[in-house]
Amino acid sequence: MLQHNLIERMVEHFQAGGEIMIPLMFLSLLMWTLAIVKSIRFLRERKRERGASQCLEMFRGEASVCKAGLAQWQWDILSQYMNERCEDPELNRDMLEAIRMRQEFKAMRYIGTILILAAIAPLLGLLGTVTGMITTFDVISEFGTGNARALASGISEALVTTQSGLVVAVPGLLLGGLLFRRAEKLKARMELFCIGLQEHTDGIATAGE
Amino acid sequence: MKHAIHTLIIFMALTAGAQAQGWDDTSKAVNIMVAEAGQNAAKTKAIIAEEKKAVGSEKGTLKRSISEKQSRFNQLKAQYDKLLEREAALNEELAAQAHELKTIDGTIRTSAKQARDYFHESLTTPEHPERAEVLAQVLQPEKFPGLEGIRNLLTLYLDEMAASGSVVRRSGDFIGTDGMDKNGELVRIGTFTEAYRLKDGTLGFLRPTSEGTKLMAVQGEPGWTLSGIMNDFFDGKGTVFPVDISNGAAFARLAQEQKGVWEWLGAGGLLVWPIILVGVVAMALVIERFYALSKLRGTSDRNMNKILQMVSKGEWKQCREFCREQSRFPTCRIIGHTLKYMGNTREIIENAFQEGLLKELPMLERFLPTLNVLAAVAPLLGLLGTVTGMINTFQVITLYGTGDPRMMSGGISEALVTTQLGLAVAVPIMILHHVLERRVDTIIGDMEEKGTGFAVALMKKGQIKKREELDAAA
Repeated sequence: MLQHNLIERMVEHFQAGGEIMIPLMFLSLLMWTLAIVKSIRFLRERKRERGASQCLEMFRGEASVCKAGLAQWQWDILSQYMNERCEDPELNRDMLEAIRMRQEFKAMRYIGTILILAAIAPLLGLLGTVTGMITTFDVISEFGTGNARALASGISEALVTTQSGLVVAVPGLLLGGLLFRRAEKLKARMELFCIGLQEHTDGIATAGE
Repeated sequence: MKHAIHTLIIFMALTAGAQAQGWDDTSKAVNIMVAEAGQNAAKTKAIIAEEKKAVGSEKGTLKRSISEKQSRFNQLKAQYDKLLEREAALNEELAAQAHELKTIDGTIRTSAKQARDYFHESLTTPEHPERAEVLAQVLQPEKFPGLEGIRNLLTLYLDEMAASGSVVRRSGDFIGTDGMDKNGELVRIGTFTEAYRLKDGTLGFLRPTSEGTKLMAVQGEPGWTLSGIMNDFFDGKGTVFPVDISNGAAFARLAQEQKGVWEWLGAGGLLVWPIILVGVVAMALVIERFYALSKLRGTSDRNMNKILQMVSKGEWKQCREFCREQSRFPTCRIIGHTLKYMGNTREIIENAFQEGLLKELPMLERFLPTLNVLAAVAPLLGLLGTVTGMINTFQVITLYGTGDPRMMSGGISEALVTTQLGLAVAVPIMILHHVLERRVDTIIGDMEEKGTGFAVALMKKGQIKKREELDAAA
């Protein structure tokens, strides 16, 4: 019963906000989906990360086992680097850097989107405010200030959209910031991994020659 | 006294007679005369007595009649007094009843006037043109409407009450939105709403004219959702119909809601135009960018594989050819550029590659900073409009005071419309800019990666010479 009431009230609240609520809701859903997907991926990858030497060890063994056992980015960097590697260490480093940049780009994926969605939400809320105020003033020019009920619909539209915009934006910005920091840390780990990888492989390459 | 006079006369006569004749004669005559006088006196006495008697009886009669009349008079006077009393009582009664009657008359007139005012705005009046006559009869001045009139008035009211609970379909005449007489299908829902459908399918609502005798189409069209519902109802398929329970106020808003984009923009004042300009420029840039980027594809994995295959086989010519063919891919263009420097040291190859990349970059990133600036400028312009509008409002307030909210609404609508427009322009630009930026970043990342891969492939093939080798060759 309580739940039913709650849903009903939420729907009422939603309807009070007018048309702007629809894009706002889509925006919020998209943002949360991206944030959840992103954080799940981060957490899962973090668990499977290995040190550079350990990775090389695994790479020499069964490929499928190695792929399943490593984080996605580690496997990508490792496989690409090991396939395309040449004798020139300078070139190797450049190549590794290019590969790493691609992975870094992947790590940052969606975070910018989350942040920009969070930035847009209050703008949409503000748009709703203005629309609501225009409705209110239309009503005033039509009926004067006597018709409080008609006035209230415009004002509730104005306030509910602002509120919703902020409700969407604040956690969005926090989440975005959190994910951004995580991505930065991941980038640092990637760099570390690449350096380790190169150290090890260069040693091997020279040993092989 | 009388006797004395008689005697005197007789003596005088006696003296006169005595002179003329003798005493005897005289005495005889006197005796005769005395006798005669005595007789006369007796006679007179008798007459007198008789008359006295008659007068006495007459007096008695008269007296009686007087007393009779007096009693009658008294009787009548009492009656008159009684009647006077009655008259006063009746007058009082009359006054009381006249007051009541006046109240009734007044009530009837008031209700008849109310009916006239009400029917004036009623949708049912055009269906009952006889109403005006009935009302005029009841409202005749200086004349009591009578039971007939009261009954007619009551019938009018009852009819209206019945009409307010019924749905009537009929075909009838009305004045169209263009002011011409039209004939179409009409539906009246109670006394709230009346709608029409013309033969060409035009839908709309009706209101009574100011005279109240005809129907007039409401300005503004119902939207397509409403039109669908209304058409269903006209066709007898639907049971739902939109009504205006505010008795016409909502119809006024129907017309207002449809005030065009121009009116809406006009309400925003001068600052609307720069915002629109920003929006148009941004839209043009976005379209240009999307078009340009759709031609440049970043995902050229397949092409890259082909190139790498060619490189590993040493088919340089084909490779160059292929790169020229696929020049819409920036990666291929850069590789094509790098291929020219084949056989040089790694530094030169790398520089060539960087050069190619730098050549491509401005093409890719063109307009993106501009878009960013435009997205930032649009809400600022909107804010400027807000402030300008508020300044206007306060100027109006200083001039005219806050008495009429309508006076202020001009400035306020300017403030709000510009803000709205600024935000409405900024939000899509921001989103599109983000999308474009992501896309460009992807392409650049792809180019760098592919370039390095290509360099490695060259190296493997031995096409990149080490410096010592080059020096040795030189």
